[in-house]
Amino acid sequence: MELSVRSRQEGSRTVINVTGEIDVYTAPNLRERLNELVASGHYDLVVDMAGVDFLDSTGLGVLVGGLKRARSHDGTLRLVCDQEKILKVFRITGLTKVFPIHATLADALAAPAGGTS
Amino acid sequence: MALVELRFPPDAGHVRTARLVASAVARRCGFDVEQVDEVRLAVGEACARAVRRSDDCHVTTAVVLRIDDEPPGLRVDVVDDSAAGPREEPLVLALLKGLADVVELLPGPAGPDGHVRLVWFGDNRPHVVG
Repeated sequence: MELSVRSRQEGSRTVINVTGEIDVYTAPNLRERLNELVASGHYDLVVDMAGVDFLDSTGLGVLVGGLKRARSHDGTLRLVCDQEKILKVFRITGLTKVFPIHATLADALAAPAGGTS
Repeated sequence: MALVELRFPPDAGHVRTARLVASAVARRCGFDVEQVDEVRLAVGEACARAVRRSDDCHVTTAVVLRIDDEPPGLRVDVVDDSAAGPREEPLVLALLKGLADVVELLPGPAGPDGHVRLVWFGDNRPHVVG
């Protein structure tokens, strides 16, 4: 399955809809998109992973990179995910403590803006 | 007992092929959905690591994935031909240790740590971190 990455604006938030498999082969596409968004002044990012079937450590690295870039502009990167198999990847690597993770897009959009989780 | 072996060029696009083979074998030997997902992810990590190590040393020799379903579980070996030395890979190792019952880094044909062995017992026993 290919990776699809689409972004749209929701008020001050930029929602990045990711579907498919984020792995060593496809993660560079996501990295490029996140870098472009931050470079063009989008610092309050919500990555919606509801349609993600698979996530590996390369994908985790890309998300951590996006979070660091957003934070360097006082923004943040929130994740939307409620799939146990994907959440497990964050839990095993201790990254549940690093990312604000929300079960629904509505919850992520309702969270306060900026770098607080 | 059956041994399934896949040889693939060290190309990131083939890591998904390796994952598909591994999850099919895990399913065939009776693993439940959650365990199949663990095997898929861990084998993907080990194969992606082999591809990165090969890239680092400009090695084009095939990566070998061997899956042995001898009861009571599944033994997976991923071997690359890279002479790359030890590298920082905390996320990869954390995932492997969190997913497989046994994780061993063994010498490969061309250098240290070129062989990852993963074992699942397939009976839901608590994971051994090692």
